[in-house]
Amino acid sequence: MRVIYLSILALGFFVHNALAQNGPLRVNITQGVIEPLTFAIPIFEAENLEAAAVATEISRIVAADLTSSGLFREIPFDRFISRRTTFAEAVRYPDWRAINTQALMTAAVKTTSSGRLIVKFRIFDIFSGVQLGSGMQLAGNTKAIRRMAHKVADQVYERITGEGPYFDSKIVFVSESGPKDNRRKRLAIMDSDGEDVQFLTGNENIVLAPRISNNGKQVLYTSWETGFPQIYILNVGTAGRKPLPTPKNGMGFSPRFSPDSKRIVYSFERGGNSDIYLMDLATARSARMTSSPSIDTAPSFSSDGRQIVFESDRSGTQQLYIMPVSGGTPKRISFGNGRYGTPVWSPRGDLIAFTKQSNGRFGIGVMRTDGSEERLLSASFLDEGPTWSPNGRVIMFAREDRGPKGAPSLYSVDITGRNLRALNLRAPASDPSWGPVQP
Amino acid sequence: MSAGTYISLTLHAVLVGWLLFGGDFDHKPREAPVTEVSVVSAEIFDILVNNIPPSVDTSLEKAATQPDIEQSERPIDPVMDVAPEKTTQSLSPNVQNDTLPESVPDKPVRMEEVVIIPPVDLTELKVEDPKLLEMSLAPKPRPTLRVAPVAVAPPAPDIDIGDITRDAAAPQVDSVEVAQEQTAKVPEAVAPEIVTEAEPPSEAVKVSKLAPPRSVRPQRRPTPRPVGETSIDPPEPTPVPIDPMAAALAEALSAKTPASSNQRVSSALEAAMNNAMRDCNNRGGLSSAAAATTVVVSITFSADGRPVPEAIKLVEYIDGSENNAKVRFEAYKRGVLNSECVNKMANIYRKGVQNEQLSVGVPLEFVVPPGEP
Repeated sequence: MRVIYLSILALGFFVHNALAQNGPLRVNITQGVIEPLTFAIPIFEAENLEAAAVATEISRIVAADLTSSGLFREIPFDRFISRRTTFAEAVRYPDWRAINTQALMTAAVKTTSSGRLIVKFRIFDIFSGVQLGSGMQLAGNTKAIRRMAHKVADQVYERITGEGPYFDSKIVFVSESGPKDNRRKRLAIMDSDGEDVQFLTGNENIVLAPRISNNGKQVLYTSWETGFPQIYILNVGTAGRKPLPTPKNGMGFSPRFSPDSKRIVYSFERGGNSDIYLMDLATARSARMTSSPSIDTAPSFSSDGRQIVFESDRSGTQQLYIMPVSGGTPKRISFGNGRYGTPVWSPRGDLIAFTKQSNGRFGIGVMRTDGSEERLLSASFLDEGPTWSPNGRVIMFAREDRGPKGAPSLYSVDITGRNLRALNLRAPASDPSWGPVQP
Repeated sequence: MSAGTYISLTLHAVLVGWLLFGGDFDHKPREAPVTEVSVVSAEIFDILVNNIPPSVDTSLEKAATQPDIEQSERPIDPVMDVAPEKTTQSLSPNVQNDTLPESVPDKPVRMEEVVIIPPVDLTELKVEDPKLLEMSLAPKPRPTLRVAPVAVAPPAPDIDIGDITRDAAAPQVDSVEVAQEQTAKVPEAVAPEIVTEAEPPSEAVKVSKLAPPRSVRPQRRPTPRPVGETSIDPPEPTPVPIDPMAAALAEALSAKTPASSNQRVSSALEAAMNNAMRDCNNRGGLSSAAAATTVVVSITFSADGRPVPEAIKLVEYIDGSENNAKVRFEAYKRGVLNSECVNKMANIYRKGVQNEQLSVGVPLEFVVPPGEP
């Protein structure tokens, strides 16, 4: 019996070791590069004469969107070897491999008799020699060319990178005109790429700090329309607006929607003291959240709506604090050198963007919600007012040049700190607020 | 009045005049002392600049102690109570800076609808002959004949060097031999003159004592050890136990088993592979979540060292969702199949096979760790 037991024990031991040493060899990859993915977009095929006019425009918008993300680099037309003629034609992979194309997108556009525009497309992984996922098609009216293109770009971006979409979204901002000491400011809304600018208000009243709701239908802002600063809510679809009732004997400013767009937080100044208030939009009741003898302002909801982050100088310098919406003691999260302001919680919930002033320069940075891993993404004479893209990958902010002729303009930067680029707007702009991806 | 009085009056008048009007002739702008008091956000600054704050309200303390709910001046109306008198207007393409139109917008914001429809009428790709898809349309060089069809005599040389003659070199008679100072303190390892086999060896520099009698390299190539054996220490000799049961247990407990079921290639081979694949592991086109996912990718190489596309598989992933792992895997696969990387890896793989560290047909597992967010 003892011999049998010993034999089984020894056999098990040797079998275990034998199996352990027969596993596949492993190689730890420790090196890599960070470069944009190369892609090619031949001009979309026009399946009828009416579609020919828009096929080129749509393909160019898609390519511009992908390139602007910083994650893609377009292969120019003149390097193409293979010239596809129809959407149904098979892909000659060697031709695209020869010019180092990693992803290829093919598409066709047609218009229907009912006035609809239909775009269908496919994405190919050239080096693997396979189609990525199944083909897709979008339908819209013939005036929705830009939206169709942004939607297509979103699908490609999401399919290849795994990141959420953001191209098909709107940005509300303050469009400025006139000299620096007498600026006229009006609300405007545009596509995420800075095109299709439309004004929401006239330029006879000063407006400040617009914040678009998470459903993209309403905008909060501060206006001097009555000669006194007051918070307004504006319907994006109709441009109708109304003042929000705030407590008496003071002025409200710096409003921001909750994630469900049913409540707002705002600053209320009374007697030289600013505190944070919470308003239920259905009942118009306001609840005071902070009560320190200091300037508490710029509140922003967390992505789950349970906490807010705001700036306060209660410690003697401008710092960031978070506190539960249900009440409680604010907790300071910023401890670096300099002053922190205008915090905005990421839609993902993992980061907080802020404006930091240090050594006479302003920059945009991000930190974890507990204040750790602080990183500066930009720095200049004046960078301020960050806003998150709907997928939490890109931050847009306003940058103003030094000097009496300095004008603000909008910039975007990836959260990695790469791909800093200016939006191509035709007028000075500030205070961006990025809306959600449109349904 | 005395002259001194006149002088005093004049000087006092000049002094008073300078005190009164002297500052007007100073063209240098005075620098206003600036003291940074506090930093406020742009919106607070605008509020403070463009509006006079209201007078101090004594109800502040009351508000702080009262229940936090405050009733506003009037309830909110769910319907916008201001007529949409200001609507929207597209920005004209030729609008320049600071020349925005003064008119009030007159149209609401355009909201076009775009929907994703099922791909019901997406026709399948026309693949008449799959072999044609792997044929490139890129221009190829024309085939050339390796042997000339007709024999051609070699061309005549431009210069006939056979006619040129030269005298043999001879030392000059009146030359003076200059003795070179020898500074070397140790004998040189190389002979200072050429010694032919016909000359007696005594005249040559004795270098045999300087060089080892034979190569220090081993005479035979060492037998390659199985991969992974180097990471396992040999078991220490243990005294022969008296009780065989206790001996078996002691041996089982003292044996060092690898932490995982997989063995790693040698560090030199791993470094070479990393160097070859550095440009192929592109983490640039990934989402934050996908870049933070660790994937283990199994790759089988053919005999010529090229990865077999169909045999590149995702084995496992760590710290991420399945979708993120899939995106990370696809990105890595694209890099591995890049022609530049294929060639680099093929060289390394073939050398690994030659050194018997790798076996053809046995897959390698590449552990791809997280990159930047």
